[in-house]
Amino acid sequence: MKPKRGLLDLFSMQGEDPEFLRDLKGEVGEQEPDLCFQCMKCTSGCDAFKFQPGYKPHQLVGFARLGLKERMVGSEVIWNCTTCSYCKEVCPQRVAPVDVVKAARRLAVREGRAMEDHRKIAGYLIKTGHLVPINDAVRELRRKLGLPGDPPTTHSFPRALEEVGELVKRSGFKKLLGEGKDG
Amino acid sequence: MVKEEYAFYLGCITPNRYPGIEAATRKVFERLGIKLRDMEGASCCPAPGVVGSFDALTWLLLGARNLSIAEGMGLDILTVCNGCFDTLFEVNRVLREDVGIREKVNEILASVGRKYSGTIGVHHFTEVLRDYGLEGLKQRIKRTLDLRVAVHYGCHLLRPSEHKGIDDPLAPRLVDELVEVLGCKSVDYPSKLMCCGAGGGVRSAFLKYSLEFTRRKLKELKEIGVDCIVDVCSFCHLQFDRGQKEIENLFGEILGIPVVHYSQLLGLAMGMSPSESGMDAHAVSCESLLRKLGLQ
Repeated sequence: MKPKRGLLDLFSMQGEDPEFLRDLKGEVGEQEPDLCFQCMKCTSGCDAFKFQPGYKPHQLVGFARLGLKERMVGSEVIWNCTTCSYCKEVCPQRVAPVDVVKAARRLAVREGRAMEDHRKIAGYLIKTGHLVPINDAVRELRRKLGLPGDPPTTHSFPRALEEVGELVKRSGFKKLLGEGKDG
Repeated sequence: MVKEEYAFYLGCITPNRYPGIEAATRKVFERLGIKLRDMEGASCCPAPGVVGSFDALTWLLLGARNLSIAEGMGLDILTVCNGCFDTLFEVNRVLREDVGIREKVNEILASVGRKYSGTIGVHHFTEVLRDYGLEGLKQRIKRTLDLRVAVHYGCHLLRPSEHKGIDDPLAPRLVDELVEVLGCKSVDYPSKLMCCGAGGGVRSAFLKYSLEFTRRKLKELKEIGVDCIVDVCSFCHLQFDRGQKEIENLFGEILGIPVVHYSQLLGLAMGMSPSESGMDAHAVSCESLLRKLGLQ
């Protein structure tokens, strides 16, 4: 499907990728970029925009709508969203800009464009089952509080950690973001 | 309707960074006569804005695995972190609504001997406390907390409200009512509904930018004058507490605002000592607050 042309074409010299819109819409989420009429209600209330004026949800939705893939997956700006979902709450058109952005992030990750810091925490998840794993100082604090040093999570159950390992292998996550390429 | 028992979902930051929140929650619910059972072998939820931004299938699979643990226990889930709440609630919803995705997820889950059935609900602890009843809570209180507090809701407790429907997402009262019943005054401030700045992988990737959010909120509070900020999410809690040390290092500002998770505040009101809920182990000292309460 060829995306409709809009005013935003004038702002970009980059070519359209019609498949990009289709891929975005195929991702899990409620993203409907084509319903956007650029009212900017999302951007006007966006907390991220307050501190990073380059982050404008309505503009990203516009890029998505036009299939301007590189302006999204090729840009670090999409990683500025804290996923607070204010935009999704107030959008009069049910576009769900936050879901558009998350979908674009996943397409970027799939193309090997994940950020280094994100690879690092993904590695903790693969190795320990936790994005934020335990350490000795917290183990000591836990004991002081009358709790077992290791919580009753994957930290205490090796079989559970094996399950998580199997799932991240089968989903392709380990291969995509893990340090080892054996996944 | 409050149930007699819940599956207590811990997540990562609660047990692995702020175990005081875990200890406080366990004790508070015990005193309310609500049993919390451990979800043995649970993993990271996984974080909605982080893993949810990396790969949808992984987010669904690990979320479904956690849900299946509670399903095996036959219990609804209780969480004390908005991020965990968001993931488990949303994964549960997506898998209930989308048969195609559910089948795909179950096909892979079968490889580890698990199955998602969609038989349980997911609740944030503040929702359970509200359903328990403000009057009921009042009767359990041993110590009136005469404090000026700033409530921070965090994002994922309320939004998207279409599915969660817990409270008005743009003018909530839930947590304000929960602090007021303990004797606190909940002060209004302009950035009350602003994000803490931590979510969506932003804290990992752009720490200084992420702290701009935190700083904006806390600077307002310093000006207005509050005894503490009260959060209902372990990740927001970490961002405000550790974040203040990071703000000292990166911006050279000392804000000194104690950070208290609602489970800890309720614990204090129910007669627990501050050290029982790990309030003595925070990055920002809670001493000023405890002195005001005559506890130090």
